[in-house]
Amino acid sequence: MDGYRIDSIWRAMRLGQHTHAIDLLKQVLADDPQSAVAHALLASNLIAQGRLHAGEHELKIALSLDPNTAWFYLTYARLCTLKNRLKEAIQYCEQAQSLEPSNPEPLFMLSEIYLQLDERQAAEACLKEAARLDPDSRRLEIAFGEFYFSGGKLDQALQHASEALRADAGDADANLLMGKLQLALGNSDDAEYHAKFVISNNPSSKEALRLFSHVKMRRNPFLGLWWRLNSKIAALGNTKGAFVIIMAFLFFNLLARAILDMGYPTTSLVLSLGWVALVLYSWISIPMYHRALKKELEEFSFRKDY
Amino acid sequence: MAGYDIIDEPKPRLQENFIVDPTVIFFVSIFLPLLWVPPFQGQYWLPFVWVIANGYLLGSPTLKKEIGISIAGILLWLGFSIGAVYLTQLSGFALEATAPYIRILSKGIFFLALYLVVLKQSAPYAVYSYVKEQASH
Repeated sequence: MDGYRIDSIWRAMRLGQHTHAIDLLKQVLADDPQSAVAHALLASNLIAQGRLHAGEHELKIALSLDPNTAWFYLTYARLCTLKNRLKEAIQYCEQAQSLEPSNPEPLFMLSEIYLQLDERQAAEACLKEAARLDPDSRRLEIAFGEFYFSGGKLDQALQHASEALRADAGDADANLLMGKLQLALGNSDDAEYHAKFVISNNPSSKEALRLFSHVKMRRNPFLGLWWRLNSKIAALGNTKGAFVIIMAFLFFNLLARAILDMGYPTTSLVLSLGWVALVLYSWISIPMYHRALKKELEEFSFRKDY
Repeated sequence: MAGYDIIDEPKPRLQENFIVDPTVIFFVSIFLPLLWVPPFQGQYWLPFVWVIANGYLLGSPTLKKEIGISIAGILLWLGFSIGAVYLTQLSGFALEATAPYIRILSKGIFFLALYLVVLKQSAPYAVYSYVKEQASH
């Protein structure tokens, strides 16, 4: 890849313009289909867009062309965590670590994976090892902050988040951690400030948009209920989510019919209307939520080079 | 964008004017039977035919899976409906009493299968829409 293209691709990725980065990488791969780095970068962008299947395909190509680059394995580990294949993700992190033993990044990711597996001791051990390898790493404070936050130790998490922000007030991860902490502490104004700060620098940051949405929904009980319902169903994945929705449909309708057959037409009617109300509520909430979010985002001032 | 092909990008065929958002098919299959009931229980299988035709025109990379889920869904719906009627008669219950429950459950099976197919097709449709939008600029 030539220097100009690399610069353009990195710039697009840094600004969260993944679609633009993908277009550039497609041009690069049309000229040089054997570029492992281009395949891996394409995979990173596809993963960022949630196109995990295509991302995995590109990563397999990248690794077949070059099996000795640590960050390819780290990207694969990230993909596996998103697909909830956590054991596999651990293996890829370990492979990355064996290729670059002095790099703390695989340990940070391992710590995140162990936290997801609720193996807190292993997660802490990874962070301590990362601290030994690179005591000056900026990531360290954030990783420890996340570790304590996930364990409910908000005071310790706050200490690390403040330290991370003191070292670099513009760091997106540090701001997000502080935002999440402030929201957990009930300071939604502060949480909003941090979310807005990250969005103004990177409007494609899903984490920041999620935090911002959490803040907005916390303040709006009507949409907040839908947001929570929607988040819970989305977290289950497509298939399980579909099952839950259909089960709710069956539960309401079968119950209403059974109650009608038992001779309580009014109760049955109320139940049927309840189902209709729930459906209408979930339909109305979507455009309302999008409108509210769009209105807020329109007021943002983004950085000049975005 | 000419050049390298990403595997999840659809390759639309010539008649791409007929391609619709798969969620439209889902909503039509909910509301249309309220106004008009197609013959031969068409409300239960026509949406699958439509969604598969849509996937074909779209050049959906997940078309085989979509066809698989559709066939499984139709067979499950058919098997359940016939089996439930047969069991009702075998156990001596009046079909008039169990029919509303059978109808609700069979609708549940139908919507579950259709929902899964539509979800599967929504991803390639989103990529198709994006590519089309980029080409128009």
